[in-house]
Amino acid sequence: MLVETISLKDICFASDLPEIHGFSEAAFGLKVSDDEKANKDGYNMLEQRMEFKLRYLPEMDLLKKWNAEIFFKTDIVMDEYTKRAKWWAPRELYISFTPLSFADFKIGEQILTWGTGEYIFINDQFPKDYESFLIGRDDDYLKRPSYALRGTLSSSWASLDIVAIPIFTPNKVIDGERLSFFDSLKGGIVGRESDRFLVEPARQFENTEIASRAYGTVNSYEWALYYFHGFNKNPNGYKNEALSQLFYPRHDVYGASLQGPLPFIGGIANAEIGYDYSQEDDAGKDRLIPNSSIQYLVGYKKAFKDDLEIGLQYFITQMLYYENYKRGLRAGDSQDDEVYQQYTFRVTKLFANQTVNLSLFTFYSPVDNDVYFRPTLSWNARDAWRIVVGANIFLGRQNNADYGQYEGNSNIYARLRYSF
Amino acid sequence: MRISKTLFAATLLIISIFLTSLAFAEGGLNADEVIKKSRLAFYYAGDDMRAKVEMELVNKAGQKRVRELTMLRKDYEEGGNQKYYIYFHKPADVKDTTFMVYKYPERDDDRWLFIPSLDLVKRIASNDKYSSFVGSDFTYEDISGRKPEEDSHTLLRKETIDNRTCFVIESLPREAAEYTRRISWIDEATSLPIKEEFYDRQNELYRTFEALEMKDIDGIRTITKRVMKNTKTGHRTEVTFQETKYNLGITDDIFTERYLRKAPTQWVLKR
Repeated sequence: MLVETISLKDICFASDLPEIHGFSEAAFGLKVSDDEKANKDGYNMLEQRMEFKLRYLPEMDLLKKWNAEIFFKTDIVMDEYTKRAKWWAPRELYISFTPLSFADFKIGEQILTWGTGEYIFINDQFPKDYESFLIGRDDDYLKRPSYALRGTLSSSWASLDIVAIPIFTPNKVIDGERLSFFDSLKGGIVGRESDRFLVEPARQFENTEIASRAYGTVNSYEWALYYFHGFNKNPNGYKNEALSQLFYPRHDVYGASLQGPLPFIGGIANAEIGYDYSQEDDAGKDRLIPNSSIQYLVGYKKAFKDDLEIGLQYFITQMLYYENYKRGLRAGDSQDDEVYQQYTFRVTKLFANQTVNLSLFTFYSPVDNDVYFRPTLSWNARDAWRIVVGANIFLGRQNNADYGQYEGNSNIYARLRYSF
Repeated sequence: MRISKTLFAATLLIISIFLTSLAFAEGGLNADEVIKKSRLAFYYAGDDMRAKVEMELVNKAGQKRVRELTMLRKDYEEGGNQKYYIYFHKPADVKDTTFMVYKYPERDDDRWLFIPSLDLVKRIASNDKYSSFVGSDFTYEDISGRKPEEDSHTLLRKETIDNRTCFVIESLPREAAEYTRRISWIDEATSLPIKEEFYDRQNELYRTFEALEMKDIDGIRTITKRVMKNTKTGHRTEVTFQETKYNLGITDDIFTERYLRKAPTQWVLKR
């Protein structure tokens, strides 16, 4: 009999009260360029935030046997930019359990990440928050939670993750409210006047997204195969140009990655590839929907004496059916290149018994001569106190380039966090 | 007569050189053996182990930082490959972070870090074995050991510290290392290091290790409290091992991404 008799007392009182952890943070981001298009001219972040997380291990017989764990993490945000208090910004709320010795499940709102890139995602098709990334919030906020069911089957030679995402979560993209951007519908840099309307996929069973990964480690080398079936997380399809309607076209991504030590010179190298199959525009004839593409990434990182580390990446997106794409363009459409290249360079150095972290992450694309600098300096003044100062500097000249479009939004920021 | 005298002297000289070199060779052999045994006693005790480790990082001004972690270790061969699993309890900003190391004496470690707030398993470049472990005065090499063949060892003398007879051994790296000279006091009875001194390029003392407390755990002599002092910066790290247990039968699968992502509750108490 699977039915267990449960009394309320069992659920509520049988285990010790869970500990509460989290942090309190104040953050301020000052706009250093002269852009006056977004809602506020002087700054693009001013907020106080409390994060609470708690873990509960149910004592109920079956759940205990299954090693069940309920995890909850939420932020309470007082956002001075939008003048909105957010009392309910859950980051994670899930139950995880192991009903079989080789199978784990995690059900609920959760952060999902995989792939080998650093800030470059090919097979990680899970939602991101690029606004947080560009205004100087903690890296944690680059990832948005998904409502998902995750199952993991493990064996000694390979493991398999299968994730079903029944409720669509898009990327938080720049929309002109906090940061200005290049609006292709308006053909220029826009801010609050942007009137794009983003049409999300309907909440239907057949719109469930599937992400899966088979992976293992052989002699220090990690391999993985990926499959994703779902929607673009960016609204990069045009539903109705006249009505400024954008949507999230369906696509499948098939990919693979390999990561491990480089012989002779040491350090860790990684390579990742993804074939992005545009379901709604396979042959590339529809100018309103992105073509299929192939993406390549190679990376390398190495540690040096005295806590110095460097990381390099080279990333390429190659548009398929480029001739069809070109033929489909109309007068006034901006033409993308067939091959998009990007380099990233990271240098990180720790000082003072690793309490000070100085880092510079640089994105550079030769195609558009596009540059984005991300310097940060963080200091763990005490175990509980951390101060971070940093900047997001966009130097690209071209208005429609990946980073050049944010030129008017360059910022410096500071955050003070107390963890408990 | 004169010839035989010279011959006699020469013979004596040859014999004495031979004897001296024999004695040195024996001394050398002894030192190698002591270091080898010490490494096994210190880094390879039991077939596996679990401990709750508390590290106190204290700077010159007396300000304290605390790292609290559960450490699991499994040996695959005496003196050979090992796997480590570490779960951080403190400080609060890294709580629940897990860390895994595959230690290979013959080449660079494999290291992985799991950051739960990002659901991110991060491969760590591990080619610098002299980097500090979590900001402490211990390097990765101090935590997991160094191959005896990487240094040439000489027995300097025997000395008694705290009623323990110790071999005092000088180790000189064969290739460039973090130190240029190390002096170790190895307890004759337990083979455990009681004290170590590290000298830099200027031949100045810059780090000292001391065993502060030793206990008998499951019949294995274990250093349960140790300190590493940086004599140049005045920074020191005190490490206390609590709830140490050996030969628990920790299985292979614990040291995989699966448990990196979800700490094994039978070994790690998350609360």
